[in-house]
Amino acid sequence: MDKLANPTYKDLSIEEERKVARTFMGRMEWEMILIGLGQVTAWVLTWILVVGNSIPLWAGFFISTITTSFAYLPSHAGQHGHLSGKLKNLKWLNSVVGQLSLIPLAQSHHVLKATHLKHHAHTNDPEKDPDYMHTHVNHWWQAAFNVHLQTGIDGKLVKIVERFSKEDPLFKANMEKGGLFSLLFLFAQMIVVLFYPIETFLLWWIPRKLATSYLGIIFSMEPHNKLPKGRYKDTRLWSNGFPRFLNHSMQIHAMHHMYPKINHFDEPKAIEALKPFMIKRKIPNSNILPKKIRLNSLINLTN
Amino acid sequence: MPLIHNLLDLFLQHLSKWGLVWFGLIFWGSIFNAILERLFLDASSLIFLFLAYLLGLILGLLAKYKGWVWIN
Repeated sequence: MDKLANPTYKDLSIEEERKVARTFMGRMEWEMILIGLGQVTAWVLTWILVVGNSIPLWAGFFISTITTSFAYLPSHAGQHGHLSGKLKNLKWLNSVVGQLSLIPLAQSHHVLKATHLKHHAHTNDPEKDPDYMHTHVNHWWQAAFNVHLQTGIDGKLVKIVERFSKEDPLFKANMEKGGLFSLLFLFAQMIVVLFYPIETFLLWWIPRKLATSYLGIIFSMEPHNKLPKGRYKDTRLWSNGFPRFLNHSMQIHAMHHMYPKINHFDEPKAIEALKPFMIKRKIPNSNILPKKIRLNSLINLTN
Repeated sequence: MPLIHNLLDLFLQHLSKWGLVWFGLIFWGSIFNAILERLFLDASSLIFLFLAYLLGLILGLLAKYKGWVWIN
């Protein structure tokens, strides 16, 4: 694979691009399984420690906010089948780990999977992209707010979901299956709050709202903001002065939209190999991308 | 079985319409009550309890009619 670190290809055809991309697909992404189960365990432990008065509530709030911000990515990996890779007998890992990981966010894995796959199919389409309302905004704070508002009365997301439910039976089935988990989370919060009101507010409600805002900005707005539709045009490579870890490596989200089957943790080496193709296809900012992506903080794109 | 199925259906239909109101009443009512208890020494009185859950109910109703889904 290291031969691909500084590639010089003569053939930059789509076929060759796919051939190179395929060499990075199919691995079971064990790192995401660890993160998913690790963060939900840390979240539950935080609850136990706060309720048992072993740590103060403010410390629990701080820890919970950090662990909750790690809750989505493992589900996202599960949505794309990365957690099982090409091991068909372990496909259950995708939904089981994906759902467990989403407990701090009180979200349904199936609902997020259904809407996220539509986001991939219709990225930046104002009528069909479920993420459009918090992606195509003028300021980061609008993304942070809109991501919480879009399912409200006359919310555009509701209309998009209704439309896909009529057109796509698989989407409808996933939404119905996921709807039960959403209800379960609604009840769970209403029950837990009766016994631990302030704890539920500071260890669950606020952290998941903060994490959702963070996701709206970093996962949706930054990579797609004001870009057109089109496989090689809809996602940019970007930087915001913060190291990659704090951005969940979303600076290189363009790789994910190019080949969603490539694991999150394999994207840096895939980009190093596919960079000539990305430049040829004019993926936004691919021309200023550094040669070395692995262990690169990407504080700015040109370092 | 059809009876249980029908009841479950009715329950789900009710929740899809009134879920936010119940959430406001129970979730936010409990939080408002806990905050009042911390702010006022005699907040365990029924008046404070009623006030907290009334505020929660109002928030839930506002959420339902104004589309404030962020409350849940």
